[in-house]
Amino acid sequence: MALPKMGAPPGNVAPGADHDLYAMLADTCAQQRDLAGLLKYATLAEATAAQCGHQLYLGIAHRAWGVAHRLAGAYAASEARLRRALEIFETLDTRWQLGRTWAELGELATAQHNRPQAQAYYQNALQLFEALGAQPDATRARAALDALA
Amino acid sequence: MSHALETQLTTLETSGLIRAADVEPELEYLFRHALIQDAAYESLLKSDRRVLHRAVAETLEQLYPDQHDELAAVLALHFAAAQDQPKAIAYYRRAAQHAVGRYAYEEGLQHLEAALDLLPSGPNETRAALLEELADLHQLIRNGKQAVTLYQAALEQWASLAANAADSEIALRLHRKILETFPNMLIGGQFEQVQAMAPIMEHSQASLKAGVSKAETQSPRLETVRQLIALSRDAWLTSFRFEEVDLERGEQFARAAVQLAEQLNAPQELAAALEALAGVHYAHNQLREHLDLTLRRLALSREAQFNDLRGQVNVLGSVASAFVYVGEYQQAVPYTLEAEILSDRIRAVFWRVQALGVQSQCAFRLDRWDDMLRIADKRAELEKQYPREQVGFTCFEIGLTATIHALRGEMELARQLREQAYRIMVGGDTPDPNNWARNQHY
Repeated sequence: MALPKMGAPPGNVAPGADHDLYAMLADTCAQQRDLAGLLKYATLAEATAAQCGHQLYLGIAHRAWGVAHRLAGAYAASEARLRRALEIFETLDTRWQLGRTWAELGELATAQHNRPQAQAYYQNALQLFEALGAQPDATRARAALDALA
Repeated sequence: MSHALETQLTTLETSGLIRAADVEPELEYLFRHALIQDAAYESLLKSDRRVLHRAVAETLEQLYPDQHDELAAVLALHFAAAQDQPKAIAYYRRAAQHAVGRYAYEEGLQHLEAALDLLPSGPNETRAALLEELADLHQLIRNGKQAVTLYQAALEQWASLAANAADSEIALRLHRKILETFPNMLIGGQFEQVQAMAPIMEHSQASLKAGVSKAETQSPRLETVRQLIALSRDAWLTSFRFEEVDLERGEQFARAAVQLAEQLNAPQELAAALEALAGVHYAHNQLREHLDLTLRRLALSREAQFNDLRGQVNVLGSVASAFVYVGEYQQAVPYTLEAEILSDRIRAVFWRVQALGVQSQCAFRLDRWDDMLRIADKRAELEKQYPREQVGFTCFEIGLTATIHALRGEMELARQLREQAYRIMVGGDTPDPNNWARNQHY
């Protein structure tokens, strides 16, 4: 399923803060699994991040798109976006972002009924979350692994 | 030392009234008790005291011709006690400059206030100059309200001294300094004070705009560069607070300032003009252009003739922030560390807290949570030591710290920090959501 195009950004926000705001909004929508919100903000997040070459926010935008495509059933597009996000987060060495992206890949693999792949992805996520002390995320990753067992 | 003096000192020492405090590099005696000193002093006739104070001051001046800066405060005290007001005031001003040079700002304020106290009532040029110096110092330590009040008082002094004072160079310089104070006040969260001073701000804006127009027909001067910078910052930063933001005017003033500073080959003013122009790019969301201009400022600040440590700290902080805006956190960190060290050296609390704030953001974005919490502890220590006006707003950094604790599942700590951040943002113990600092700030 192809995702619809987005319109222009809404009115002015605070100076210099557009990309911060759109990255946060897109990321929040991704965590809420809010497809309408993702369609609204992921484009803006990607465009404003690309405008100034903000790699972290580009990674977040790719992940948001990955979630949006998965929610829309476009699994190949979803995986491509999530892989691009992974590449960026690996370069930046941002472990929580990496963990979250592995967890999204885990959820994508689960949706595709690929249990071994999903387990491997969730395991990657869990290791990163535990190393950071990210207890709530680690708990979620463990729960996902338990559900797959 | 004469034999007679030596004998007298020995007598005083053996009778227990004084004791030798030091032998090297100079022989130095102290009264054994302050009460003895007071009694000895009170036993002198006032006329004798004046003569003795003058003798001490003049002897010090002659004995240590290369140390007048270091001795300025002592000399000022003796000349003041000798009732030689002009010399006492001159030395108090010198002592204030020396104190500021050592970043002893409170001491500098005390010397200038002591000098003002010595002046006879009624308008005079020295009072006007002292008021401006005192205001400059308050501006430096970010006591914006006090600075504006003192600049106003200086303007009134000059106005009562000359009929055409309103048009004078001095008046324009004071208006420029008044206008420069408001952005710092806004950044420091003094929104209500700025609002209350809006008529003063508008008067200074109008005076400066007229002055800058007039300067177009005159030979280029550094003061005009500074005035253009103040107008640029006012057009997009201060005016944003009042919903009258004019980026186009802000850019015009900034470009004119850059051009003039280049023409005058003045690196410090050029760096400040580039900062104003970078600010306009930031407001336009042109963050790479903002970074490029900020790096140009950095290059200028590294030049030998850029002799301004406060300016260097400002530039370092700006470079770090400019990297953060475009997501280059790794590149930002060394500049924040340099800014932290330098701002500590010059006791610039605001810039030190800012440097820690940017470090904190970098650690947060790079998922270095332990580092971030260590930085947060350092920042919290500074917040305990200094008032909010000097520390600035830290709600964002505290909010980030709350996020880390939440991500670690430490929910109670996260809740406490979240509420602390909110209280700082909306102001005080009786938070008003309409007084949201972010809205106010922008």
